[in-house]
Amino acid sequence: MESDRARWLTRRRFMIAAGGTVAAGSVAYVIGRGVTYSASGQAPRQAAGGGSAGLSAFAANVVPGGPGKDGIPAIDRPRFRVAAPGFLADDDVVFGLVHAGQTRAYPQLILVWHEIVNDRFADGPLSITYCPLAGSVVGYRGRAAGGRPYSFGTTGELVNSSLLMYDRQSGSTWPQILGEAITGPARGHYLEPVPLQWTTWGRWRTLHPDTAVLSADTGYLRPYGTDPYGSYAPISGYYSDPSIFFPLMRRSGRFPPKEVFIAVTHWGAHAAVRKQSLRERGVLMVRAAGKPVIFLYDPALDDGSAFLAQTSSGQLRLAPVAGRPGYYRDPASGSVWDSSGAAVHGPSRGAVLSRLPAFNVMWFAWYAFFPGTLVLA
Amino acid sequence: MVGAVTVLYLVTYLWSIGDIVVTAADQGRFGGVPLVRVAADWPAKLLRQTAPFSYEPVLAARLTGHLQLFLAPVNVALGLLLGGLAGANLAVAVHLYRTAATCRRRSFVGLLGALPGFLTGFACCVPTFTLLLGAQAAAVLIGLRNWLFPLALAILLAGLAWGTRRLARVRMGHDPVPRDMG
Repeated sequence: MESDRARWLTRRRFMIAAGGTVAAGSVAYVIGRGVTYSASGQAPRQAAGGGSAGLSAFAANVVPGGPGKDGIPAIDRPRFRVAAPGFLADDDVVFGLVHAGQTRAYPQLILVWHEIVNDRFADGPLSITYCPLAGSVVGYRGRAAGGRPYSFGTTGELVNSSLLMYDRQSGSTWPQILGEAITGPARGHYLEPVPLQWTTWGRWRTLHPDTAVLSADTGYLRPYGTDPYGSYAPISGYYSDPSIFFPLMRRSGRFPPKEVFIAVTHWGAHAAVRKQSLRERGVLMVRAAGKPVIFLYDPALDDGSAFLAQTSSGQLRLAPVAGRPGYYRDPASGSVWDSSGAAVHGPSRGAVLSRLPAFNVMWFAWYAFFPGTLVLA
Repeated sequence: MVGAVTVLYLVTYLWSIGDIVVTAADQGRFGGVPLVRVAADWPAKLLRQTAPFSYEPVLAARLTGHLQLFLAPVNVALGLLLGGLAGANLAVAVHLYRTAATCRRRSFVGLLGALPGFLTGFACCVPTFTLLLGAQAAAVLIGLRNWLFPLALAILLAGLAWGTRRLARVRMGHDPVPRDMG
């Protein structure tokens, strides 16, 4: 009996020691990775406006998002294919881009697993960035000190519940919606945004039958075709639910949090139009930083774009042409413009408006970064 | 029984972290997903983390149009570890239930350790589940994500240690077995 008891005690001590070692080792591992959770949720730190204090406020509101650094891996060697029939359903969301002579579509059902594609065009590198939580897609490019072009990865962290990227050349961090570095050697520098169209596969391939499509052959294994957040066709899950998972620096109850806006930054001024309003009205105009900005709706893509409403003959005012969706007339000259900003009839024929890098974004994210934004709804 | 619980736990754990994917819609259409895929440069991916205690899959298999498996050997090992401990906890608990005189205290407390293990997966990789919990709970869960696996491990081990200690006491005669249960 004594030896039995001794054996049990020894075994128990061993198990407790083993368990304690494993648990302690796990705790040490977690701490050693330097992962911290800053409880910034309930007391938002106000940004003091623009400039360095504003950047510091953004940096102070960075929180872990769950995955580790590059846990959501950027696609660094994108492959493209001509789409086979049945590859995508017509109502699957794609992000379309015509750039430097190339026409490419990036399916949302692939990008939701990677968020960043470090792509290359004839005029150099261009990174396509998509934040599922903020419903925002925009292309970015830039160069580090020394001239090396940036390529990006995901930090696994978020600001205002939206994607925080880092560049591999300097290690600076860049909130996708801000397009400006908030930490690191590039702090205070801006990326050059390039707009993409938020549309559906059926619409995009009708307009661009020979388009290339990002292939699911990314080198990573993911359940492409599924979306862990919800669905856009029909809209459900996170995309339709008003819940926001992560702390915001500011909130506004003026619109439902997930309401889609088309937003643009121009010379330090921020303007956003409610996408549904643009669908209904076709044209919306606003003055931003003293310049006239015009938003035009394209029914073929069901998306909008923003332009500088200035031509050689002065400021442009446009109104929808009755019976011709997607075409807009200037009452002053009688010229007709299409939704890509090109004049197709009349005295101004051949002129092209200067396009601004507007992008689709959810209301909560745009407001959290730019509470002073102009709004058209 | 330990084996069955281990396997059941493993399957649930892998589903919670997104390594087992069940879809309502047929996924065969998307890219004509091949039956079996191997990740590019898979040796380098074996130990590559996507999140704390979660690793990149190196093999993917489409079993049917509605069921896909993603194999990350480390994830399977971690799931087996937790599952094995959960099974052992259950075995000890059942044994105690059968032999202990006092029916007041059950040692199922150790099984509570199984729960943080699942929450690890949900917090990381299945946002739609966290939606069900509500945004506030989801935010807390995601913030605790790094700690859930060690917490599960600690609770399961503690539960097992406590349960075996109780079992030892019963066997030593410290807790007598009533005659009608003999």
